[in-house]
Amino acid sequence: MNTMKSHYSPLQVADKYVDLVTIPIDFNQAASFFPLVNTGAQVIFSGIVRQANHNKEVLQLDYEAHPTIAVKCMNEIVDEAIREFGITNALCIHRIGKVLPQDLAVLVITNSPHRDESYRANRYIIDKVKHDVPIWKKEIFTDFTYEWGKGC
Amino acid sequence: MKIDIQIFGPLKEYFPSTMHMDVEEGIRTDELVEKLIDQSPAARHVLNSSRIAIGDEIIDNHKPIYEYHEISLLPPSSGG
Repeated sequence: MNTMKSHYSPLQVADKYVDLVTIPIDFNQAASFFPLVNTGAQVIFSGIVRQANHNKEVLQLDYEAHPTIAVKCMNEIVDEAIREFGITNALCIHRIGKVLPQDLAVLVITNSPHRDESYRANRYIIDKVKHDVPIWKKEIFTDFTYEWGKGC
Repeated sequence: MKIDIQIFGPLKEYFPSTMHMDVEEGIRTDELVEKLIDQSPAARHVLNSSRIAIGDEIIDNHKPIYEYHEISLLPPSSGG
């Protein structure tokens, strides 16, 4: 994410951006990543770390990934969404490592000429990312107990 | 032959992050899972719902494993 600007010059219009990052996701940079050419709708899903879960206060989440397979899977999912729903472009960024309550853990942005495609593609991407991409969440509570995420 | 297995997520409750195992050449992935269950029966439920990758490919069917393969055990995802 911090290297986004170096991947594409403004004249090169990408149709997707996929990344796993260990630093906070820059929401504003991500939201303005794609030029809004032929865009009438932008849908943004922000996955935020809850402050409490299972009636316990959350200290932090530790996300782990199989990095190469995770990025490959995320690319495939975003490609499928672009193909299936006819959206103009899509972005999907997931944090790994330590993430604190109220932080952004995952961001999915879909752009399209009309809202229906963007809504459906965005839901498709986040559902598939949660289900298919080899990323695991360990939820650590303030009493220092922890639980592994149970999937979706 | 000796193989290295990378362990991820909740499977780390039962196995170290990297395991070195001595197995027969060409052992199938399902046979490897059975060996791991023998080693740690409490991990059965997670192992039985895990995917296996050889290199960067998640495999769908049981495949033979050779010494040069990098094996990863991927429990059910819980990202997002």
